[in-house]
Amino acid sequence: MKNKLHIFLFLIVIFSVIIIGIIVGNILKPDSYGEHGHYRYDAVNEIQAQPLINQDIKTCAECHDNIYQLHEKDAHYNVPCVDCHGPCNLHVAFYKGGEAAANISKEQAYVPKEYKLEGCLYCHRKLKAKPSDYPQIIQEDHYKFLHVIVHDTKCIECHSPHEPVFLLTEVRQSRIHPIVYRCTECHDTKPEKSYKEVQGHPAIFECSDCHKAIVDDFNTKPHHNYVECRTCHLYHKENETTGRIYKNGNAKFCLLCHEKKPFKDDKYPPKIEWPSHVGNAEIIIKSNEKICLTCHEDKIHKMNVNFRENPHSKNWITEHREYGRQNLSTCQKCHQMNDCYSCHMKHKPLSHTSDWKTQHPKFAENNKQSCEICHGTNACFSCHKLEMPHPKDWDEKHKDVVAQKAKDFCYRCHNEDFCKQCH
Amino acid sequence: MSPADNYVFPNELHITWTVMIVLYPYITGMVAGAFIVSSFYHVFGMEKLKPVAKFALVSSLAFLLFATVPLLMHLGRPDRAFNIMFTPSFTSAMSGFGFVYSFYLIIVVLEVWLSYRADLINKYLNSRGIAKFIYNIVILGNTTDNEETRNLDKKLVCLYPARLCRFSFWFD
Amino acid sequence: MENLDRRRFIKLGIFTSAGVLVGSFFAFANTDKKIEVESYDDLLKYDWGYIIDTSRCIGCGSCVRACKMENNVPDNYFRTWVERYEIDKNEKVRVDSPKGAIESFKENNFPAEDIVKAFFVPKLCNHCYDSPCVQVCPVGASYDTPDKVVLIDKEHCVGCGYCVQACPYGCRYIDHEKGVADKCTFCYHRIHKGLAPACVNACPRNARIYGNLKDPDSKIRKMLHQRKYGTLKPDLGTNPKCFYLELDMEIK
Repeated sequence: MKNKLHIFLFLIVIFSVIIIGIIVGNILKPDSYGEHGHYRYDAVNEIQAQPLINQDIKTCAECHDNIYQLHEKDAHYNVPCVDCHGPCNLHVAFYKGGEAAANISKEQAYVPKEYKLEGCLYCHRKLKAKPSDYPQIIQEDHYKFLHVIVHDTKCIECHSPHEPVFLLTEVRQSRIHPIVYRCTECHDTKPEKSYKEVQGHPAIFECSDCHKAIVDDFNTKPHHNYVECRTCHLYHKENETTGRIYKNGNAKFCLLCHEKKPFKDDKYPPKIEWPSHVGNAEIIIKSNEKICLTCHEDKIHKMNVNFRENPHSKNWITEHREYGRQNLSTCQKCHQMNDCYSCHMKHKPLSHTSDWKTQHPKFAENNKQSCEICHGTNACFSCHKLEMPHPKDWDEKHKDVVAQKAKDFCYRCHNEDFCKQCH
Repeated sequence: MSPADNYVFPNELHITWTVMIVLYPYITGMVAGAFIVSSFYHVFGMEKLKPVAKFALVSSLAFLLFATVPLLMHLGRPDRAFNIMFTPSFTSAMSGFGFVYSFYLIIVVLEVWLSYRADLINKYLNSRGIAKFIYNIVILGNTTDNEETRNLDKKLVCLYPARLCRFSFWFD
Repeated sequence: MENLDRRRFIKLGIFTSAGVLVGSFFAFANTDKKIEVESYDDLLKYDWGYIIDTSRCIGCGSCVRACKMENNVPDNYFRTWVERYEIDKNEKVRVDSPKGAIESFKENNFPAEDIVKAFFVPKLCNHCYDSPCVQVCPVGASYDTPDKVVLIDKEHCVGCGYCVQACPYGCRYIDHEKGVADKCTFCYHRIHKGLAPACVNACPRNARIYGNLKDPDSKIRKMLHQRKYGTLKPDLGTNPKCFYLELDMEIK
């Protein structure tokens, strides 16, 4: 036994080290380890204390409700605020107040509104891997089409980020419509042949299948050479079989091509200044949004443009003088008239009071331009058929005039007893 | 279709297991090799290796003590290295490796102790002071050294490697 | 003489071990209060799943950016990323993911007219039912919560990197600042407050859907009943919980 003692001693040492190790291990093991499995259960709750950074769209809507309503109506309704504006956690904490706002400065809470060109292209750059029905552009081609000459123009110069296509009907309420494909959704460039000439080509709905009359009319109009049906009638694919189509016609949408901008050149398409094109900004804001169609229907295609409300602004009575003088043909689209007198023989302007006959010479002496707005450059002559006021040598001259034109002519302004004053 | 070549997941562009992990099997390989060299003499009686037999055991132990150092260097949190002992996971191969390593450590320590016991007892009896104290701990206070103990030690040294040689291949 | 030495040895041993025990008790005592957001039984009612619709993804990278902001993900590592597959007319496949698509994709890899099929595949941790990362963790820092989300206990992880090697989907990485492993946590801090994970919140195309697989009325259950789906690498037996609609066999 004595000779084997050293072996036993060794084994005792080893076992005691192991046992002490196990005891120490159990003491040093974290508290909640092994409660519900081979892990530290406290960690499950600790991880929930991580701060929330990305904000939900509902949080933004609490304060920015007007932008939220605009956003929900238009094509970007699925794009959350954080995609363009960043997480905004400091902004929300600062403006909500409370103890969370204590360490945040106003500069940190600022959310920039400008969005870089590259940021829009993250989604809208044309790549083969993107689904063909998704709106995507090649920047050079898009700018060439619109004749944009400054190549780093930002998208937001034309497209408002909260309502990028200025829809009038809310996205999710628009008409459901069978899918109408564009050639470029499958082909890289528009093919020369029509699909009907290709054997085995899948069947495609064409607009003319249902809307033949409109398509035939459109093909005779100038827009036909530059745009197609779906350029203006935006199509939003909902799933594999259907989508929604927008009737469009919002003036702001037309302006995407037709507004004069410093970064666009002066070639096609014809461009206008807005809102001076219609004379007064109030016309667009308060009245019909489809105002372009009021006058330019003949350039697009036959359509049913019904007006239930007055397209003119409230102060049109005083404002129309300038406008009517220069744009008579525009008035004629709705009003049957040849010149101002067509309306004004019956309805005189407010300034022409009942004693205008006697009052007007005084007024005309100092405000000849005002008369000319309606009555033309030779305002006095257009009524009086004589030079007005009477020239200095009228004493001699009037004899000839009366002889030529008869006394009735003078009686227009002067009464019959007037001649007796001298004669 | 031809499979996509040359694509690596973005997180795998930088591989985590580098040279430090490689050192561990290298060192344990040397440990196992040295153990086998000593076993050639003790178990299989290869006289040619008698001069290096004991030394091979010592070098095996020396490497074994430091085999975990490169692993420690590799860890992201070396201060928590003992978590493996406190909360071992029995499904993990790495955890199993830890236990095999400890087991092998015990065996090699036993081997070395048994081989050198006679010399250590001598050293104990011929030294003084702190050295004597340390030798006392190492021999576990037992100074029985006679023919029987030597035979027993020799038997154990020869027997156990024979049985436990296979464990050295776990390291390979 | 021997007895005296032995006695001294044993006394020394006992005092040392007692000292170590008492000392360690004080050194490692944990006095922090415990937080409990949801009880264990409530957590058992959930089983979080994820659906990715590859036909809807446009590769914008909003999910990658949102996740990076939310979880402070280090540069060059990704908790979620988007891959692009392009197949050309000679049946050559090209896969890429430039910086995990954090700045989207810039151009086609092949000339546009040569590409016959191309699509985006967003990827993230699949939170497998039988995840290899949980199996191989030596310390039990990678674990399954009661609601079957795979998480990492950052206070316990030693940073050995075994789980990173073990994951067949490449979704784990070592955070070099903290020295521990990291991966998608399913935004665990958001889902229990009724908010969507950051990536689901950010997707402008509803290509990512999440929900409770145990709830029969959840959107994810309904999608799984309506559409055909697949999972990645089913042959490895990991039983992943991230389902891909319109799954192509080319996807790795």
